[in-house]
Amino acid sequence: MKRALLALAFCGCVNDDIVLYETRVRGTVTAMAAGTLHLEFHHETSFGQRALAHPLGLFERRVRTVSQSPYSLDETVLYPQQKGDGLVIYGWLDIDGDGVLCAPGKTPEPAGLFRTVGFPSHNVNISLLLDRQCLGSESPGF
Amino acid sequence: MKVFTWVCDGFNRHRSGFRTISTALWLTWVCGTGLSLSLSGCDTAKGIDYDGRRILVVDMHLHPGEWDAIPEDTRKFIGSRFPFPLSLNPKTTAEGILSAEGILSELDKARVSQAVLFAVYAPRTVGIATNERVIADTATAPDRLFGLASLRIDNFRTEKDAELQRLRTALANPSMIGIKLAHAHQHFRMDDPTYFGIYQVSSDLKKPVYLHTGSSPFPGTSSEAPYTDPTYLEPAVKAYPGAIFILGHLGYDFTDQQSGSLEACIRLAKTYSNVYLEPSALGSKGSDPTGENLKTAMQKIRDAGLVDRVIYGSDGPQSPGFVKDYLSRTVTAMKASGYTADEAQSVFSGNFARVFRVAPAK
Repeated sequence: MKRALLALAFCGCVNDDIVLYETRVRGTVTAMAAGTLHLEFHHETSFGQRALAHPLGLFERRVRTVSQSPYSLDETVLYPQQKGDGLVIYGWLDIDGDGVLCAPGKTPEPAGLFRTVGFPSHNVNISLLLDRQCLGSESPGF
Repeated sequence: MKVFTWVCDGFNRHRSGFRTISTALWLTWVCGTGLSLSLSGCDTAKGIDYDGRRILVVDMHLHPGEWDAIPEDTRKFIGSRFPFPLSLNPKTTAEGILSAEGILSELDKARVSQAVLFAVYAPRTVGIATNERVIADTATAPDRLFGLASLRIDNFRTEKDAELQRLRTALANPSMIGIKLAHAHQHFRMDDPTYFGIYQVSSDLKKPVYLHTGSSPFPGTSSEAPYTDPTYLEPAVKAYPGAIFILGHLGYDFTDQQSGSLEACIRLAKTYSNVYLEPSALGSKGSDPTGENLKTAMQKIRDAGLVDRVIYGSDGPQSPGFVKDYLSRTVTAMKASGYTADEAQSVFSGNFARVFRVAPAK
């Protein structure tokens, strides 16, 4: 755990320990167009008392310019270990530059989701294919 | 007058179990002082006085619940909004007003005759208030309390059909008069057809669906347009003309305290006869300190000829006294924007009775 990072977060008069696990995510993102790539890093399942547990749980966003496909991805993220387990990477491509996935009346834009296996790991290889139009990360369409 | 109000409120609190003043003390105070006060001045009749006319009020937006069914970050947020000294023990304060008894007490203080309690399944943001809990709460006052059922969205990948069936089962209870959704809190796009089966249920059972629109101050909320802007709902509104869509909060931007998607809400209501509007929460002291935003919204709705599409709600109980205060602020906004007594009657109870087919309380 030499690369595990222990951070003490002070919020008001409450002290919470947050354990962040460093992970390097490498691989490719494939899409049929160029544009701005919006990436989201989620827990696959977020912890919570009884019924408050739920799928997904966003902990990091990144934005990258994609001029060719496949795009080589190399991102290092800090994973909050106590908030959930598993790692899911979601992405969508902003083709028209409006910052919104599939605004009404605009060009349909592609999205994709990759579920990692064998996590936790400090090195993760992914192949993210953006081939579903207009789906949010939560969509059962993935 | 303030003294009178305090006595009446104290009586109502006592009746509802808050026991802030004893019966003996109350009777002594009222009957034994020799003051020239009469009980007839202690008006406990339901409704508001609007330009000399008594108008019944239905509050279509209230949240029951349990403190432990709210995520920790949201509990901190809620606690921070309670006034001192209630903020010192937020769990006790919250559970006092989130129970059926607590809500009835808040309704009595505000002289609201009927109300609708929302089931909620938003484990990432505002937590869970189950359909079963709401049904049990409405049973404590079946002529005054009704419910909106909801369902889990986050497990649709594996449980979609089961969740839709659970929704239908809940709606089979006569106290459950509609469906509650909050795309921003439950994290699903308004235009994703995967979820349109919910509107089919609404259409089949003739139970209107209430939808949170606009941004939200709660931690973990989806703030992007597809989750907050009702423009994204238009394909569903078109596809399900048999379902009634009630756009909650008028698309208000609670983050920046601006009108947000108000114009989109008005456009949808003008375009589609199955779209209604609900002005809760946006005009609260915290979200609209001057009251100007609520006044502007109510004015625009009236100017658009949509008074018959507005159903009043507060989004209480939030904190003790909120239900009453929000009603007062809404009356002020409507008077300032020229609503007649007939129009106020439509907004506060008439439109609700027509849309939900609920008889006014006796």
